[in-house]
Amino acid sequence: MFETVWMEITGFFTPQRLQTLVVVIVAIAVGIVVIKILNTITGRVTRKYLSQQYKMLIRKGIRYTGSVILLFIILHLLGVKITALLGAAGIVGIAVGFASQTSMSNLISGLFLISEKPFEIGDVIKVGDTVGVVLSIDLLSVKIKAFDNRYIRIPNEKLLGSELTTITRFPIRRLDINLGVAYKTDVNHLKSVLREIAAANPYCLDEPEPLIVFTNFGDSALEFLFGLWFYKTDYLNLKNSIMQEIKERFDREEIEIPFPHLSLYSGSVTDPMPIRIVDDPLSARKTRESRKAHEVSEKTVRKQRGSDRRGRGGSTPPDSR
Amino acid sequence: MKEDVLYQGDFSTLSIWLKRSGEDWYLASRTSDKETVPSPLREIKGGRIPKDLSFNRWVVGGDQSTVRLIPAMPDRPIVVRPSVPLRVPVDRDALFFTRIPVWVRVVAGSPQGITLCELPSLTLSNTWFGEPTAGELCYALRTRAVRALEEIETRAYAAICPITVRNLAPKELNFERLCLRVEHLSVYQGSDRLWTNELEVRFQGEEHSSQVIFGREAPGYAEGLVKVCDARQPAEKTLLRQSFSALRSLTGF
Repeated sequence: MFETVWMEITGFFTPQRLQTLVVVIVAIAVGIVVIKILNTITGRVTRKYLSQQYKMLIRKGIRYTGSVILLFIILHLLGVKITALLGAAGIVGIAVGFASQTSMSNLISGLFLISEKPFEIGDVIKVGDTVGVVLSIDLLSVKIKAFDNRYIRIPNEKLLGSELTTITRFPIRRLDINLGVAYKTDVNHLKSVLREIAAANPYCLDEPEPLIVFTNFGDSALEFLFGLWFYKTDYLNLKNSIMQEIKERFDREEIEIPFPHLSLYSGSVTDPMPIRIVDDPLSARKTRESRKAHEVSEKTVRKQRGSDRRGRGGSTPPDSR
Repeated sequence: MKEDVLYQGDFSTLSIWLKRSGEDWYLASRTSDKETVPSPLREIKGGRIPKDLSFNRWVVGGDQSTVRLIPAMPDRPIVVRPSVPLRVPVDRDALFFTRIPVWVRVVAGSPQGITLCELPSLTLSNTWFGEPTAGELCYALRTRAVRALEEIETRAYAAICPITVRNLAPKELNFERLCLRVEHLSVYQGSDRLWTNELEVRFQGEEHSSQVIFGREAPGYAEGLVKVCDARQPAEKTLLRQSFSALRSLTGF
């Protein structure tokens, strides 16, 4: 059995076939090296002139084109007739084209995205509820890394059809804080306090000036918009520090930030629900239970004493019954 | 510096704690809201070290027992705003002096040494110079734009920069702010204060770039000045930059 298999293997690998195999292996090795060298040279040449996105596209273009050419060379070396294969590939292509309409749509959307260039690799974007850093922009999809380290793939078709926000497009941004203060607050004093808070924070830009807008007479507070400009990388530093500073300064200045109170009314519009102070039911129950327990234990003790007396008189003790 | 002994120094709002242990240096810093009385590095006894200090460690190597604290210019340009807007008529010059808070460069060893870190003696607020879509991140500095040398308050950790503004434009210059490229300025030590190179800014109109000329030598307002820190970037003789900028309000809806 073993000898038969061995004979078949040795019969298959004729010297001519072995020679072809060696040539194919050498061609694959040389082809891979050539593609890598081409990629490196292109990367170095375009390093200064092209954005990361275009560099990635060129790299992928070279890799895929090189791989296809290498495949044709290998097929040619193996004696496969490429013209027949290409004819078959045309028919297969039509069939695959019909079957992969979504992919084609993504591909065309990807081309539009690349030409429109709404964001670049490294930008922070928001699509729907998804926010993250762009890792790669490919022909079919865009890959982003969410801030909690999730890897998200968004099809280009969806990206092109939905509202997209490039958060880090411009170097500076504004952090909007909605503030509510009590009606008794002196508005001028509040504005000067907010200006001082902004001036004291190193992450808050001096120019453009902070925005302070009296937005509304709210239900229970005077409402203000406090807009602070910052350099795009300082978002967390500013947000963390300024919120704490506002709270601390408001406490010092006795500026009250109202918060919702829940009042229950029994039906009348203005009169509060009448309240009658009673004993705490829980503690009352506990008291009742402890009294009961005390009474029970007293009864038991009395019974015990009675039976003891009876026992000493010659009757049967209660435990032995 | 003695080995395994903690030293402390105060520089404006900055306090530094420094220790050498073998070939390693340990450094901690803290900034306060108020300026402290400046004091050079001094040995401190135990029990006076704040508990929440966070030390950084540098593996310097070699026998480096000395440390130098060098006053350096900030690492970003500074936008100077006069506390009262200044107006310079056509074909007139205006000389004024502004104080620039220096950074403390900690260098271990000599003669060249190894820079451990650079810390601001006073933390300046950030500001933006230029358009919101394309501009430059700078530090903000308010100045009284003092015109006479005698009026300048002496501060140990601020360098005085003499600036001459020359209005060559056909209309009055409303000087609201000036972007100082401090990376091209050197620091000089005088008898009682620090100085920088002299600057001349030639204003040619808001549509044109201003010509900034950096003085090559120590300013001539004090004698015996010694250069203590080179400029971060050597300056060309003139620098064409959009140095003046009219305030553009971004705060309206």
